[in-house]
Amino acid sequence: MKPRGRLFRQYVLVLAVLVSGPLLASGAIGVYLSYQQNKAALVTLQREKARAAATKIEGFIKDIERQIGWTSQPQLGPPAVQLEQRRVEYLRLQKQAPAITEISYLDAAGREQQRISRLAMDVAGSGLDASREPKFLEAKSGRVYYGPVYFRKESEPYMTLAVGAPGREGGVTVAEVNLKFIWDVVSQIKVGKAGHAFVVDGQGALIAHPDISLVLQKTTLAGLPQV
Amino acid sequence: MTRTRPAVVLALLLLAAVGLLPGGARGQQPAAKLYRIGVLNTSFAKNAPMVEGLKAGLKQQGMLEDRDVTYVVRFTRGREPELGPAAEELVRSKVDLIFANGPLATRAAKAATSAIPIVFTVVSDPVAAGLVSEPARPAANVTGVSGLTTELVPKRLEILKALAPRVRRVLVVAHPDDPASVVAQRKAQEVAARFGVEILARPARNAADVETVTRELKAGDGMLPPDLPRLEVPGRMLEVSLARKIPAVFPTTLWIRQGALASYGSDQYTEGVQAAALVAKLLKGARPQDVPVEGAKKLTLAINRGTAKSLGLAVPEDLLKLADRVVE
Repeated sequence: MKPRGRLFRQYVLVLAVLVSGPLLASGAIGVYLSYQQNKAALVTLQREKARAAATKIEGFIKDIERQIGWTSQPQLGPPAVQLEQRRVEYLRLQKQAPAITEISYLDAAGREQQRISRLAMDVAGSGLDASREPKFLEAKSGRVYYGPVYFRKESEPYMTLAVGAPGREGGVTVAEVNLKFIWDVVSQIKVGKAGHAFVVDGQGALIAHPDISLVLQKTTLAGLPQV
Repeated sequence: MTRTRPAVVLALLLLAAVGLLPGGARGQQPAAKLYRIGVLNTSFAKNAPMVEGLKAGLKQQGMLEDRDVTYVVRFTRGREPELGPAAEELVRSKVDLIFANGPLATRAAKAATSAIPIVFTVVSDPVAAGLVSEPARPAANVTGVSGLTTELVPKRLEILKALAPRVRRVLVVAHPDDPASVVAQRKAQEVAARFGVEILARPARNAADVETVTRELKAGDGMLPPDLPRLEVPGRMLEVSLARKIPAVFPTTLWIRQGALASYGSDQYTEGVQAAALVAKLLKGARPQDVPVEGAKKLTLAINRGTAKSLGLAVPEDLLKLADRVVE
């Protein structure tokens, strides 16, 4: 009885291994392949979403740029009248664009003549010389100036935008844009359960991400293949 | 038998594993969790504006009431001694997060727990109030939305001067037990020269104190009432401002309907909406250290034209255009 029992058990064992071995192997290969497939599909999806986010963000910035452009048209009349008219334009812009925290006007020589702010005091005729700063130089040369992202109070991301008025006498309108408002755009873009969109600037530094701590740590993603 | 028994067990295990494998590749969805948010308020009703704002904001984030979040609300009707026990009760009931409103409630919540994340709104100056030391990097379990009241003191003075250009002295009141109002008072003194005004910095704990300090006011003076958790002092200042025709700019929209001339500052509902983003992040597992305190994004300029008229003041066109709310 004993030797036959043992033999039987050995047959069971061998059969079990022979059956389950290949099954396990094929199952594992199957899982691996479907994982790779899913990963590829996800990367495509993520790229689409990132493109969508980039379009939204670009739209946001362009919108602000356009509104600034309207207010930087040359004003007519004596300087005092111009000042008052421009102030009215800027106040209207401030009301229309909650993302703009501060607007200032540099005259054709690069000196600040007006500044209105949501948070700080308005300043008139400070005469601060910005003639050598890139925001003035680029805007005056006809291009729109997009400044690098900087932080106020160590946690609020801002960007300077400057648009020049045409002509030699034209000055430059400078706006400080609170990027927290596009973060709302970025953070609402969902990619599956755990994916999210993020924004990097030209150099690959992270400027917007639903997880703000990564931005605050001035993370750079220049090394990533997606960047 | 002893040699092959373990082998049989192993064989059976292998077969079981194979049986489970195709099912395992499907992946598992964790059951959606129902988060419990404890709300701590000194308000007089369950539905305070910032709570409504929070619910609306969370809805925008895809978190619906009774499906993803439920609220355990404790409101103390202005009775401060009840805040401590209410906070402890919320902690005992193991809520996932505490939404505290105003510096008193937030302080009570902070005293009751250092583990459960706390999100505040309706706090004029969280640093002055001792709730966070570094807003950009909260060291403890407390974060939230700051009303920026101290920072906006110069703006309010600016608005006062725009509405009443002849004002030369401005009464700025602070409650000695409220550090934020003391800091705001100091800020007013710092910038006074830029506006060509003299600041009368006075303390007031209650309506009687307000009576005393306003006695020295003359025609041609102005007032900057403080943003306090208890409404008694600013409330009395409003009455004085209307009775004696003294222009005053308030720090919140709360007072405009009551007849305040003007206000510039954040409002409770929008702070609630803004806080929703922070709450959602924390519920999903972020640490409070990684969720910086935010300054209120939306600031409201409100003007009461009726009051302006009765005070004999002309509201400048550009201020009117800039105003987000104009009340007759």
